[in-house]
Parts: sequence; C-alpha cells; structure tokens
Amino acid sequence: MLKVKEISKSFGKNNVLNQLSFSTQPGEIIGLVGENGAGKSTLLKILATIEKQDQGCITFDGVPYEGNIKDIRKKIGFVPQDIAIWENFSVEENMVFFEKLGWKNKNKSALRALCLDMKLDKWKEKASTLSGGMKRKLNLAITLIHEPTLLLLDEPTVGIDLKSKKEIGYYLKQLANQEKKTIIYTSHDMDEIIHLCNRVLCIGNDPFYEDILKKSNKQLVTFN
Amino acid sequence: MRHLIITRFIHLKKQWFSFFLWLVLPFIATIIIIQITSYIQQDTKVPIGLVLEEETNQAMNLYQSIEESPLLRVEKLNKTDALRNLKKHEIDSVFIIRDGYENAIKSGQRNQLIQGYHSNLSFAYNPVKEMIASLVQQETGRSKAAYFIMDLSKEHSSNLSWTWDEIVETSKMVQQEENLLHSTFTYASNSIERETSTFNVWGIWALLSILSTMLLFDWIIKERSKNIKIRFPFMKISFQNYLLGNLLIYTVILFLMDGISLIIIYQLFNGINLPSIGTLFSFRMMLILGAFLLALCFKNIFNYYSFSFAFTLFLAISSGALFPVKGITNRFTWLEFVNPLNSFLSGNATILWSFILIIISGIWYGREVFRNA
Repeated sequence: MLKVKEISKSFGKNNVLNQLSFSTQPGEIIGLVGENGAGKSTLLKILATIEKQDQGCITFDGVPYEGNIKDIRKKIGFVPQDIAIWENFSVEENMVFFEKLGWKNKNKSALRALCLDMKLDKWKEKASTLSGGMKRKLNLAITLIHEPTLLLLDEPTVGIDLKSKKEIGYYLKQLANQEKKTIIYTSHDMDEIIHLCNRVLCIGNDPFYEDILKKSNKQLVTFN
Repeated sequence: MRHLIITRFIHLKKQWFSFFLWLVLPFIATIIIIQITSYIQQDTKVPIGLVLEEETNQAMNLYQSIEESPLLRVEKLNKTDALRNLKKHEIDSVFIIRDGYENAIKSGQRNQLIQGYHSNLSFAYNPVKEMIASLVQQETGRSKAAYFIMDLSKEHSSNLSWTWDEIVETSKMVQQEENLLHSTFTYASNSIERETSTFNVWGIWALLSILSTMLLFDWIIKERSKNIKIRFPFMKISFQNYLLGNLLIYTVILFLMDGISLIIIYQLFNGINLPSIGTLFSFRMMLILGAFLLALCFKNIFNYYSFSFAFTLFLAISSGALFPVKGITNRFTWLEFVNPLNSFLSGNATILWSFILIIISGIWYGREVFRNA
C-alpha cells in the first residue's frame, strides 16, 4: 500500500505540488491527469525516488522512502515517457541486457514469456525496426523484469496505434487484478483513463477534467 | 562482474568490426609504417657493385664493413657483370678488392688495394670512395699496430707470444665493446639528452594508441543517453559503477592487447628496446583514464571524434614528429614537460598525468555518488 502524506515540491518560486496526500490499495490502477506543467511527471518522479519532495513523507508497504531508497527501488517499476531501450539491440538482447543488470535473475524462456504475454512476439527483431506500439511494449516489458509491485507509468501509450494501446491496457488490468500490482498511470487520453483506472487524481483542480470524469462513474480526487 | 561482461559482450557484438579495428590499429599500423619506411629507405640507398678478387679474411671483413653501411646497397658481383651493370647504369659505381689485398694490408701497403670504376652518371662515387678508403685506412692502421705490438714484445723478450691475427681480433673486439666512435661523455649531474623522435617504433605506436584509445571510448557517449540512464536507479548497479565496471573490462582488454603488441613488435624488429612494464602500465593507465574522462565531457559523438583527431595531431606536432620543434620547446620548456608522449618515449613512467587523472576520476565518482544518493 502506497501512502503519500502532504508532499510539496517547488522549482524556484514555482510551486508545483502543494500539500498533496493520497493512498492506494494493492491491485488498484490510479489515473493521473492534469494539463501540461501541472506536476504529473514531477509527482511520478517523486514516487519513483528519482526526485525528492521538499516536504511530506511517502511510505510503501509500511516502509518510509526516507532512508530506504535502495529497498524501495527494488519494488518500483518506472516506465519513462521516452522509450528507454537499446535501438541497435534485438528484443532478446534488450531483455537479456536489462535482466543481467537487474535485481531478479530470469532465464531466456521466462523473459520471452513476459514479452509474449503482452503480444510482443518479434523476439529476434532489432528494436529499431519495431513499430511504435511494439517499442512501447518492450519499454514496459523491460520494466517488469524484476517483478515490481508498484508500477509507475509516464504516458506509456503516447503516439501509438489503438490496437497496441488496447493490448497494453488489457495487460495492465491483468497485472492489477491477478498479481495485485499497484499501478499509477499518467495520460492525456481521457477515454483510456476512464476505461482503465479505478480512481483518477486530477492535479491542478481543472474543471475541464472534472466535467469529463463526472460523466463516468470514476472516483475523482482533485488537488490544487 | 560476470553479468557486466555479458552486457558488454552484447554491445561489442554489435560493433565488433570497428572495435577490433581500433584495437589492433596501433601495432598493425606501426608495423606497416615501419616496413614502408624501411622499404623506401632501402630504395634510396646508393647501389654499388663489389668485386672480390680474393676471399681472404681481410677482404671479407672489408666487404662486411662496406655492406653494413646504412647508405649503401652492396651487390657482390664478378668483374664482368659489375662493369656491365655499371654501363647500364644499374649501379652507381664498382669497387674491386684486388688480389693480394690481405698481404698488402699485413705488410702495411696502402696503395692500389682497391680499384674503382664510375660512369658519367655516377653521383656518389666520391663519397663512397672516401668511405671505403677510410675503412682500408682503419684496417692498415690496425695491422700496423699489431706489428708494432709484436715487435715490442720481441724487443722486451716478453713471455706473451701473440700472433698478428690474435692482436687484430682483440683490437676489433675492444672497438666493438668500447664503441669509441659513438660514446658520449656527460657529467654526473647532467642527464643524457635524448632525441624524442616519433619516427621510431614506439613513437608511432604511442601516437596511434592515443588515437585508438580515444576512439574506442566512444561507447561512453553512446551509452550515456538520457533515456537509458533513467533505468539505472532501478537496477542492482548504479550508472557510475556500470561505467567504471566497463572501464575495467576495457582496461584488461587493452592491457592484453599491449602485451600481444609488445611480443609481436619485439619478434618483428629483433633487438628493439622494449619499454619497461612500469612505463607501459602508467602510459596505458593515463590513456584509459584520459579517454574516459574526456568522453564524459562530450555529448556529441562527432565533436568527440573531431577532438580526438585534432588532439592526436597536436601531440604528434608538439613531440616533433612532423617538423622540428626544438626552437619552440627550448623557449617553452613546459610544453615538453606536459606532453604525455615525452615521458613515455624517454622511458619514464607518466606519473604526473596518471596522478592528475586518478584524482579527477575520484572527484567525478564522488560527485556522481552524491548526486544519485
């Protein structure tokens, strides 16, 4: 269970996050929405331990982030917005490369099964020749090698075709339901958010998002 | 470490050709350059024909001395062939060691021992003639000295009964051991000044090693991509340790390559002076750390390559490889002091640069650890 308590973050005089608190349950998918520059990516980076909040505290499974960064990072899977793969490697080489440097040892068949689960079947193909959707799947598959329990995804489906988007969404739902992973997800695609998430956090208290989300039955939490 | 080696192997598999090329470039190119320059030098030697009318020890000794001259290409011929080749201008001049040469030397005669022929196109007849005359002079001098010693021995009824041949042989041995013509005298406080000519095997090898090491370290720029770096906080190895681990792998590979190069160059250029292990080790460490830190300063690979070539050219020029820089280095002595090639070529360990680079590397590592804490 992730607990965020009164965290604030500012860059110079720009107050990006202000006294933000929320908590999540295992198996829950949280959508993070807000206009550009509202602080979605900053919040995600703070939750991923890449940035540090100015105030407040965060705990995961009862362990505070402060002083336990290394242990917390073992449980986190962070999918960056930019595709973080070796373009000149094949899918297989990418998976093996990150497995060797990761926390969990897995054999090739387990790595291949992970790719096949999200319909990434071009095992021997060079990453640079893959479609945008396939690259996004590989980006996600690499993050899942060490079996994280908290998955943080920064616009993981931006710029890809609808079919791949649906396949990634379906796979994430499976991860949340069957493996009880907590997933926090940012996107500008409101259809995707409504379809995928149990709860939506709106950063910036924008009425635009409130109006859209009120029409769905999703629980909306807004932050100023 | 095993896992790191596997990941490095995946990378190297993708660029094995360029990796292998830069790895072997220093010693392959050194061998090629030296062979080509030797071939050109051989071609620019003055061709002369030598006819031996007698094959006595003295005559053979003179023949060997002439043949050892670095400026001559000596062809041993009979008189007819030699004169025919001279007419066809295939050789510059012909010298005949005449019958009775040894006896003449032993009896102290110096006239008409060698007969010389030249054509209207001979350009080196006179200097070659002078050189041969000086060699004959040397032999007659030695012979005279032998007879003088033998006479003295008789006069003083010494028990020592040295023959002419023994005295001559001993004289030659002493000449070779003492190397009187080439010895230089220095005072204890003065060091022997060495010419750091880069047109020697190790100079070329060192310059090419600098270039190849810099080009081999382009992996740092390629792998420091912001996109990939973001994955490292969630892995068991930090990015700075990943870089250091790979630096170690490259160090081992390059040291192995240096060892192989040393053996091959030594075998090919028999008798060449080898740099000491300490000199080689400090030079290689300096190159590796220098290339590593330099690559960390660049984001654009093209700029890095351009800098690498420009830097190598600068070192080649400042070490006097392309044109004499004695005037400049005499005026700016620090230039000689800071040039990393100078220490290596004069057989010293590159302590200063290695020490500075180790300190900078330590600062870089500490800063990265602090940043990622």
